[in-house]
Amino acid sequence: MKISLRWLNDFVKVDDISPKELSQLLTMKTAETEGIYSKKDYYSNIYTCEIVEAVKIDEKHFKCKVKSDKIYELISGAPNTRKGLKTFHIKPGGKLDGETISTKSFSGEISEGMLLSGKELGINNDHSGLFQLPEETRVGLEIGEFTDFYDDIIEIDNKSLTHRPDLWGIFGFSREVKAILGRQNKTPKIFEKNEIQNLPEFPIEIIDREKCYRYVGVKIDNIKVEQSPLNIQIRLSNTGHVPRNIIVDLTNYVMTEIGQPLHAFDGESIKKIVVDSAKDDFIFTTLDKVERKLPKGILLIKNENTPVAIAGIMGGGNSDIKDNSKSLFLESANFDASHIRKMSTRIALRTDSSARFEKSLDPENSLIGCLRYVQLLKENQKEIKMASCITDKNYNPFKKNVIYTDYTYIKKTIGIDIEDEKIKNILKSLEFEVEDEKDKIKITAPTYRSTKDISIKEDIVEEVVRIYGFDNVKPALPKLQIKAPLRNVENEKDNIIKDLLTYRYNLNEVDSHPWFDDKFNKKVGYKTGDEIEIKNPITIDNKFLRSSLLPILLKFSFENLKYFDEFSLYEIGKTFHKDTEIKKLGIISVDRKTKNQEEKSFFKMKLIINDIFERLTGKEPEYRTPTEHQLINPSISSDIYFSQDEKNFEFIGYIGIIHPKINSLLDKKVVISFCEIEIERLYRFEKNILFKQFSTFPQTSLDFSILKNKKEIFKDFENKLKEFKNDLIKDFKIYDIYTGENIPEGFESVTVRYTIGSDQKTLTGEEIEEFQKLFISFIKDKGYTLRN
Amino acid sequence: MKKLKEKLELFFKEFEDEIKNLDSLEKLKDIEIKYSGKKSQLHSFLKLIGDFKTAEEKKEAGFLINRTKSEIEERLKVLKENFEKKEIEKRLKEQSIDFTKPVFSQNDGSLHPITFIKRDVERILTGMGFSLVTGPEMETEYYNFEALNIPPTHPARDMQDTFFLLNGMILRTHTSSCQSRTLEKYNPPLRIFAPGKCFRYESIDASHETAFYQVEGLVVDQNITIANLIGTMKTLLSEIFHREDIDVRLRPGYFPFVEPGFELDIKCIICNGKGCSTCKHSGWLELVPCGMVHPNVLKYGGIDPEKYNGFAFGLGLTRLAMMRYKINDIRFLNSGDLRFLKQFR
Repeated sequence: MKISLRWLNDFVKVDDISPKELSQLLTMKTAETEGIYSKKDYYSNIYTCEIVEAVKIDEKHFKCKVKSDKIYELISGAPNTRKGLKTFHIKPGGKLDGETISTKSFSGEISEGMLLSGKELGINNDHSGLFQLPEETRVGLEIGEFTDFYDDIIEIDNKSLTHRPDLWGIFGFSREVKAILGRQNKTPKIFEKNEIQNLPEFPIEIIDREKCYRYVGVKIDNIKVEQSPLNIQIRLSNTGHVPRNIIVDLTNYVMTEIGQPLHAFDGESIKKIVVDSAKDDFIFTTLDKVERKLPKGILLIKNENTPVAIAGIMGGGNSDIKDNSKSLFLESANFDASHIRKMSTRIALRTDSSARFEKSLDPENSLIGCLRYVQLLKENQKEIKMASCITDKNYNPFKKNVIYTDYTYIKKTIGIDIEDEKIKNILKSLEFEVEDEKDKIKITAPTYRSTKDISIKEDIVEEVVRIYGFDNVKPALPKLQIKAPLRNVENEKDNIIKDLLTYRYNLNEVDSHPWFDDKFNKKVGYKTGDEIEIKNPITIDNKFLRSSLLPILLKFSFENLKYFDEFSLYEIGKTFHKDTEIKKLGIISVDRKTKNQEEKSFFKMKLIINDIFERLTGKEPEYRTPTEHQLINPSISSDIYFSQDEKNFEFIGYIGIIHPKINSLLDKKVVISFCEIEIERLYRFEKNILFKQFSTFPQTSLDFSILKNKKEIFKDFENKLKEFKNDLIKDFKIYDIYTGENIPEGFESVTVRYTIGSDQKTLTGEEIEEFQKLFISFIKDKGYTLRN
Repeated sequence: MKKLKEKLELFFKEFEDEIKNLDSLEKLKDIEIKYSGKKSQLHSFLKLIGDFKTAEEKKEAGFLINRTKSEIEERLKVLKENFEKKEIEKRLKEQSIDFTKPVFSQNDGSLHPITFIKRDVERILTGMGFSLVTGPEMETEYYNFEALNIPPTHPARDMQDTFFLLNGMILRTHTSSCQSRTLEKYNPPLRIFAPGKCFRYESIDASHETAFYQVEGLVVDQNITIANLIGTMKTLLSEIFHREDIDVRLRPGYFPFVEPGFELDIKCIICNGKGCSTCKHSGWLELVPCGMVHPNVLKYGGIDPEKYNGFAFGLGLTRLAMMRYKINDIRFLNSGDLRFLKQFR
């Protein structure tokens, strides 16, 4: 919201402090200011003038002599250029919207400065011709001498006013300034309604009183739809409005001033006002000439049975003020905030009016708004004729809020020690009534703070501390118990995995959006099923929440392949399923394609997974069946199962090489491996480390290389080996798998290493030989041969 | 006796002459054999002891021989040590390394910048006795809004443009959603913080993202004051920004789940308050929305607001990461771009 300081000065003296200082004070005590706009930084040297000579020199241009402080010669291209016209002239050297105007030459003719349109002055949108000043205007006056043109505007962040319905007008800010600076303020001058109390009421009926709390209306005849006086136009344009005509301008003027939205209907069009909710959906054309579909239940202003406005949001095209309107009906009403908010969101129409009504305006302001409008119109159009009394249908449900608290509570909550009197004075300066009652104080909030802003004692604390000044509160650390923080296993284990992957396996951690990219999914042929849909996605391609980390990691890999040949990425992130979310770990690894790379990549990934399981649980997972996944190579993949008790195995993820069909989408020859694990399911297990007494006698390592048919599943082979039992075995490891020279076709040589020993003594050569013999005969019995 | 003395002197002189020109450890070994070994002449002198008559004479002769022997041995020992020392020195002189030659590291794994910042904030807050809690990213409207005193028609719902899901849930718009979840679970006094990812429906540009990280902090106890809030924030932020005592200021701010609510600014860490482009020439950076926990929020969490009160604050982890690493475009964080990520090792 734009606060005009000239306008503010009508109500409280602020012309003796700098805009910067005022803006600072408001920021620190009331609401955040977003900036100051000083018009004098952008405009200067603009004078009233009269065209004393205008000679047409071609189709479009006039050579003119204009009189302000002296005679200037210039060329004007405006169609309404004529001798005798009074308008504005900017002298050479003057500034116009930041640009310096110089003496120019138009095809040999000198042009000293220029004559200005309303748009060039920044007053309105009219660029059809020169801005016309009234006949009686004195020439040679600088615009700032007789108007508020060079105003300073403080822009307030609207978000910081969400809870302050009273601050949606300049007058509201004058109350704040009064309290902050300890000054007096004046109220806007309003029409004395008793003057016309004998006139008949205008027929107004509020049927839906749940949504309309008050409706004040008045009919005025003999109005003229004409331009507003220059200074009203300037004030409106400086506060962000486009002046149209005085009848409409004054509605905006009053709204900007006291925050009460008004609507001026064409008086001829309105016979009886009925405020009621729509019984059905219907189509309505608003005054911006847009046809809108309105839902059942939306509150309407009707002329008898015909809707003429969407209550609190926008008037209709069937009843607005026309250039030739002779009469007006003024509406100054109050509506239920949440209804207005809901409806303006629903029909996607937010206006200055709805933005205010949805904040819970004070119904008391409805009457003041109406009276202020009549006052201003009367000041400008003496000849108007009041055609009804001020008709006021009032069902205001709000009362002044009363809060009981005590000074000690206020001081204790802030953490300060000040005199009670000081607290009382702060509250009084904010127009609260304060009465001492035994050991309590009774605080009554003004009506304009009672609709929602002030209702509990905590609100009173805020009022006191902000005016007292946060700077005056001395920071102090709370006195708290010594207590060890609670353990967070999830976070601890996330960190273990991240450190392992980053610092041991040199992987790069990524972070990504929670939704799928359907465009990419289509490209790689990834079909989605029953993913959770976002009602309002950021783009149509992002409407499904991800159920897997694979697509995004694959997409990142595609993009990184432009700059890198080999890399590995991982993410620990959430995926979403029906009404739950699961924390998963996804790892993708891109390797240059070399011989047997698929297998190498697969086992490189398996190594990482085993390490993670080992570190988190002390156990390795099981790789059971090839995985079935649309983007994974079914031949080089596996499902991963885990069991803590070695009995109940659960599916926990999968590992595999990305399906070869994807590779055709890439220029580079690479092998991409991937795994996805429901990592959070491992977090409930603890790795227990228990010290085992080791033998103090020397141990012996024995290696055996066994020829194994490649077709035999390794797990089966390993299980067979495990059948070999001997009391001397301290450790058993698969040490190496070798194929190549000296190994028969279709076989691989598996080296196993037994560490043997005794806890009681050093083994003798005979004992070792005996062990060797036993193992060799065991192997032979199982149908294997030793390599050597 | 005199003869023996002369013989020994002659023998010793011979030895001295020979070691004078000694130049290698090998030759020293020869000399050792010749003058102190079992086959040396010195050994043969011992036989002469028997030629003496009296015990006294025998004793003296033995003493003379032994004295010469130990003198020779001592000289040989020193010589040997000198040779060995020279040998090592010589070897050291011959050896050298070009320590400017490169090494080839494979260690280019990286952590996401948010992980670094999160760990830092975590370290500080746990040190201050705060417990880390987490909550779901897919949240109910109840925990994200209602329990935070934001009823369905509240205009504050506009302030946080929300992603709504067809299953009736939403993506949480702030980690404040962890407040009520925590209050329901633990009894006061409590100090918690909840780091996590949040989502807002807004257009993405260099400084706005639909997904970003926050950390929510919450303290509930008896007799907590606004002064406590300021004191705690000063301690926390001084640690985060590595300042001895960071300047903070409070301004009124509106958030439905706190009352009173504040915006906490820190003195601009770039210009130290003088005014620069980072702080939009105000000298201050808006950093922490905070306030005293609204009594309704305590009630929703099942805590009696007449007995307990507290404060809450929100820190933008994404913002902190951007400030610390001078990241100029928020979009890098969710880009998966290794040119960006590999810088965070």
